[in-house]
Formats: sequence, structure tokens, C-alpha cells
Amino acid sequence: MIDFYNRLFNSKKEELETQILLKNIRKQGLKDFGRIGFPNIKMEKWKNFNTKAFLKNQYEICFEDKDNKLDFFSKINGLESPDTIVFHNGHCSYNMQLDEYKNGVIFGSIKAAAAKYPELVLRYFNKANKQNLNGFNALNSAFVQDGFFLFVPKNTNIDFPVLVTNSYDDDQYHMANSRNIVILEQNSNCEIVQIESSTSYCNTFSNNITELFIGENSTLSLNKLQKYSGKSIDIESTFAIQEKKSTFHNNITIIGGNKLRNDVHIKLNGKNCFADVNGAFVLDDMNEVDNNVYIDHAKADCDSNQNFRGVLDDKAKGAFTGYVLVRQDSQRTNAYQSNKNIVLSDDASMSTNPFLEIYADDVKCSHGASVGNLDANAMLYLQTRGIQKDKAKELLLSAFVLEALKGVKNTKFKEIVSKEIENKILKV
Amino acid sequence: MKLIEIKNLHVNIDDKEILKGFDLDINRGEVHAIMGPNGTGKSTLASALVGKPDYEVTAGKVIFKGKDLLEMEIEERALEGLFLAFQYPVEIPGVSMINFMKTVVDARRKHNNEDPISPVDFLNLVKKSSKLVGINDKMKGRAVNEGFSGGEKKKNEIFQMAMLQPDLAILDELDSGLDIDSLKHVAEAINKLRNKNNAFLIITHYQRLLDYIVPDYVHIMNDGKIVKSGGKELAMELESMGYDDIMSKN
Ligand SMILES: Nc1ncnc2c1ncn2[C@@H]1O[C@H](COP(=O)(O)OP(=O)(O)OP(=O)(O)O)[C@@H](O)[C@H]1O
Ligand SMILES: [Mg+2]
Repeated sequence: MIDFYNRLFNSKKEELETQILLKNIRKQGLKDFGRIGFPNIKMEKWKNFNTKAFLKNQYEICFEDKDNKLDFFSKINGLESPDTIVFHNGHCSYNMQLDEYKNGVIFGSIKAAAAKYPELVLRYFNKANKQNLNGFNALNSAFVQDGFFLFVPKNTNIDFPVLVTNSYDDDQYHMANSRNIVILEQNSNCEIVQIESSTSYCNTFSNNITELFIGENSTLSLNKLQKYSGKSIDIESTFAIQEKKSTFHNNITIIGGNKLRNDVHIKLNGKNCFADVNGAFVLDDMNEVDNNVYIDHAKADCDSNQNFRGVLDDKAKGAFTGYVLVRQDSQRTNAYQSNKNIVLSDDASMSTNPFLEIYADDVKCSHGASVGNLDANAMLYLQTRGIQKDKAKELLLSAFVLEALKGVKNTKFKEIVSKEIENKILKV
Repeated sequence: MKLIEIKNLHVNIDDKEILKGFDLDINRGEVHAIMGPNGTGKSTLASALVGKPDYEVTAGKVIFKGKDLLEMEIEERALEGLFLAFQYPVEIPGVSMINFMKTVVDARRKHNNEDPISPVDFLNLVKKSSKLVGINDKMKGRAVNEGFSGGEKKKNEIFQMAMLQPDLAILDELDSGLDIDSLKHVAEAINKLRNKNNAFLIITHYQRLLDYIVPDYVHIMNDGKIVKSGGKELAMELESMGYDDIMSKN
């Protein structure tokens, strides 16, 4: 496989090098990939996620959108934002779109941003993703095609959620490597709504990296819906670096996916930060989802919270791993973690793994995990009030999963993901 | 026609026989009270009647409004007009009281071939029922029973009963958890809901509740069946004599 991607790189060298600025990053990516290759289930961090089957496919890359069409998903849901960036099979749909605001905000395709603001983009590129942690990250560095870029200068609030949609409907075995970068300077606020979806015949393997730089006293909310078909492969790494007094809310909703993996790495790099990572997922059929959250309490006086809730049916397979690292000088740390799951069938499984590594002594940490069944007493209660069994089940499961998203302030987003969750639950 | 006829009911839990030939008939317009020592099967009777899974009926029959109750699904029994105010109401995080009640009211209307209730009618019904029972507005905004105090949970059961106006309401130890004033208030609410078409089966340990909601019949249950029946004076006798004496007296 390493050979295949080396050959692919050489055969596409010309297109890859049109972005001169990324030349070294790409080379390093390919070199790192050659050194580490793809992860496998013998590795501790990948033991719940078998990549072997889909990696047999030889994924080609593709540099332009063949039928540059509008995203279908945003239309279906009536989602709107004053500013939306639309990606189709990993390509920015309105070619090279870049919106620039008077207050200095830049939002659009990273390809376009790199062409116009090379220094700005290069200053942050691969700075949160430091060492191409795994083969997927390395491949992303080597083959990155596009992604979204958001720059918010200091003392700036974007007072509406910006919307990014990614939809995949390519029946070819293509790899889409998106690189997203978000920079909030000091005292800034913004919310990103990210909607990802794929069709039932899609064979794309999406391999994404999102790098987030959250400046002093700034707040970023990243609300994401991953609505993948039962065929889709999606591997995503998010790397966030938080400076002092900053806040990061990451709310993730996952509906399906053949193999879907999220790695969220957060470094609390200044005092008085708050990181809040929540996930809700509903899986059925042969869906496989592996969520991993790594929070590095690198400085004192920070709080972190992880809350993931899942429902699994049929032969679905889920995993959650929550890492918390509290470094020696990170006193007065509060770190909370919870992962609760309902498994509805004997063939479905869920693995939940908390990892706490604590070197400071003034620390409050708690973690709770459970894998269980529908609450029989709650079912009885609802039914004795005249609610049909199926409806009672739907009410309880939706309520259970949505508990993870109770902190989401964007009511429109919440409404949409609630609907998605309910629709999926109706099928389980 | 009797509202409910329970004949020779035998119920097992985990192969252990708990109800051992329970008999009781209730007519519309009547209030019956069941008293009896802990663990004699009072709650088991209530659970078996509403259809709790794993409660195995090994013998006997129950006819409710002329139909075989034991053949019905749990929700059908409720839609036919059977209601249980639980001894221990369960907390249901994430399901809001309002959403829950709307679903419940509409389920009933659908059963009666009626359209879903209009928002205005619904709010009026909620207002009327909560005022009657004396529950505060904050409770209505929360998830079903979540974080409710013991007394609030009991009031919430009666609030739901007031919303639904069942034909037969079984109240399992309504008085446990309610303070004296609340007990009085809730009992008054029940008295207002009492009419010649409905009936109540009140499970209690204490005479006090029966001072407020005066029963037509009092039954004493022991070891899975009724061992003695009488009028409201039986409850008073029981209060002064205790179970051992009253059961040995003939
Ligand atoms: N799920 C169960 N599994 C096994 N035994 C049970 C179960 N539920 C009830 N029992 C047993 O059945 C018997 C009757 O219990 P039940 O709750 O009906 O009593 P009760 O008359 O309502 O008592 P109390 O006055 O204390 O409420 C008890 O011995 C109890 O332990
Ligand atoms: Mg009881």
C-alpha cells in the first residue's frame, strides 16, 4: 500500500505542486506515511477500528469536481446561513470561493485562501497537527486538495453561525483529503455548523484534518453532523490549541457510516480554559464508529468535559475512548467524562474506555461509563399512559442520546440533529 | 355491568407465586381501599393489572368494561381507561413533561378517532389540571419526574390522572411522600374527580388518607389474597387493632 500511494503521488506530482506553498508539507507527509504506514488493530489506539478491509481498495485522488453541483443536503434541511461554503466530493463547489469581510474576517476555500494569503495559511498549516500522528494524517498532509479556512481577527464576533457543508456522492474509489483551518485571534467569538453527508452509492474515503487555533479569551463552537451512508468511510482528526481563558464547544452528531472515526485532540495551552466535547450517535446495520477524545491539560486552572451517548442496534459496533492528561503543574484541574450507551441487539457491541493520566495533585476528575439496555421501568411507565410501545421506545432513545447535546445553544442546529436522530431511531 | 371483575387471579414473579387467588369486583361510582402488611402483593396486583412484563398470570381472569383485560397490550389497557398512580414513579430524563403529556393526550384522542388536541385546548387542559392538583409551573417545564421530590412525584401522578380522566384509577400508596397539607389538597382533587362513572382502587397503609377520600369498601389483603372485606369502619378497626388481631377476629 505504501508503494501504491508513492506511485500515486509521483503520478500526480504536477497537480500537487501547483500549490508551491505546500510542497514541503506534502513531501514530509509522504515521507511520514512511508515511515509509519497505515495503523492496524495491533496498535493500542486502533484496537477498536479495523481498517484492513477498506484499505484493500486503491483510492485514487481527483483534483476537480466533475459536476460542480450545489449541495443537496443543505437544501433538504432548509439550513441557511448568511455565509455558507459548500463542498462537493471534497471540492469547493463555487470554485475557489473566498469571502472577505470589512472587519478582516476571511472565510472560504483553503485553496483560495492559500493562493491569496500564502503567509497567513502557512503560518498555521500543520501547526496544530504537529507530527502527522498516524498514516491517515500523513496522507492528508501529502494529498490535501481543499477544505475550509476561517480567520477571525481579534475583538471580532461573527454574530451568525457560518455553515460548511460537505456532501459526497462519487461512486468511484476516490480519497478526499480535506484540510480545514480555523483561527480565532484574541477576544473573538464564532460558531461553525458543519454538515457532512453521503449517498448510499458513494465510495469516497474521506480523510480530513481540522486544525483549530483558539486565541486568548475567545470562544469557538463547532457543531457537526456526520450523516454518512452505510457504505461510507470517514476518518477525521481535529486538533485544537486553546490559549488562556478560551472556550471550545465541540458538538458531534453521528448518524451511520460504514467506518467512521473521530479523533479530537485538544491542548489546553493557557490557564482558565474550558473544553467541552459532546457526541451523540445512533448506529444500526453494520455501522462502525470509533470516537476518541484526547484532552491535554497542559496548564493549570482549566476545565474539560466529555459527554458521549450512543444507541446501537443490529450488528453495529461502537467505541469511545476518552483520554485525559493532567500535567504535573496543572493544578486545580477539573475534568469530567461520561459515556453512556444503549445496546439494543445481541450482535451489536460497544467498547468504552476511559484513560486518565494524572500527574498533578489538586485535581477533580470523574468518569462514568455504561453500556445497558432500555430502561424497562420507563418503558412501562410510558406504556401505562397509553403510548404505543414503538413510540415509547423512540421517545426514550431520542431523549437518551440527545442528553449529550443539551448544551447546544443553536436551536436550529439542535432541531435539525434531533430530527435526524429521531428519523434514524425510527429505523432501529 | 361491572367496571372490573377480578376472579381467582394467580400471579407469579420469577416462578414465585405472589397473588394466590385474588377476587374483587368494582362497579362504576365506587371507591375501594386495599390495606395489608408489607409484601402481601398489593403493588403486584396493580402491576399485573396494568400488564407489567414478566408478571406471569398462571390462573384466573380479569374482565374490564366487558373485555378480557389480560389479553390486551399495556397501552391498550391504558387507552381503555385504566390508570395506575405508581408507588414509585420512575424518572425519565430528557423527556419533557409537556411533550410527554401532549403525546399521551393525543394517543388517547387517536384511540377515540379524534384529531390531535389543539395547542390552546392542550394548554387549557394543563392549566386546569395543574391548578386542581396544585402542582407548580416549574414542574411542568422539567423532564418527567426528574429531580422531583417524593411528594412532587405523587402530585404528578394525580395531575396525569386529572388530564386523562380514566374509568378506573389505581392509586398505590398515594399518601407516602405527601405532607399533610398536600395530602389534603390532592385528596380534595380526587374527590372532585370522583363521579358516578368512574371508580378508584386505593392502596394504602393508613387510615388518614381514607378520612379524606372516604371509601365504600375496605379490603384487607394478606399473602396474595383478600382475607377480609367490610365498609369504611374496617379501616378504623384496623388502625386500633393491627393486622394480627383483625385477621384472627371473625
Ligand atoms: N421483581 C420481583 N422479583 C421478585 N420478587 C418480587 C418482585 N417484585 C415483588 N416481589 C415480591 O413480591 C412480594 C409482594 O410485593 P409487593 O410489592 O406486591 O408488596 P406490597 O403489598 O405492595 O408491599 P408494600 O406495602 O411494602 O408496598 C414481595 O415479597 C416482593 O419481595
Ligand atoms: Mg406496594
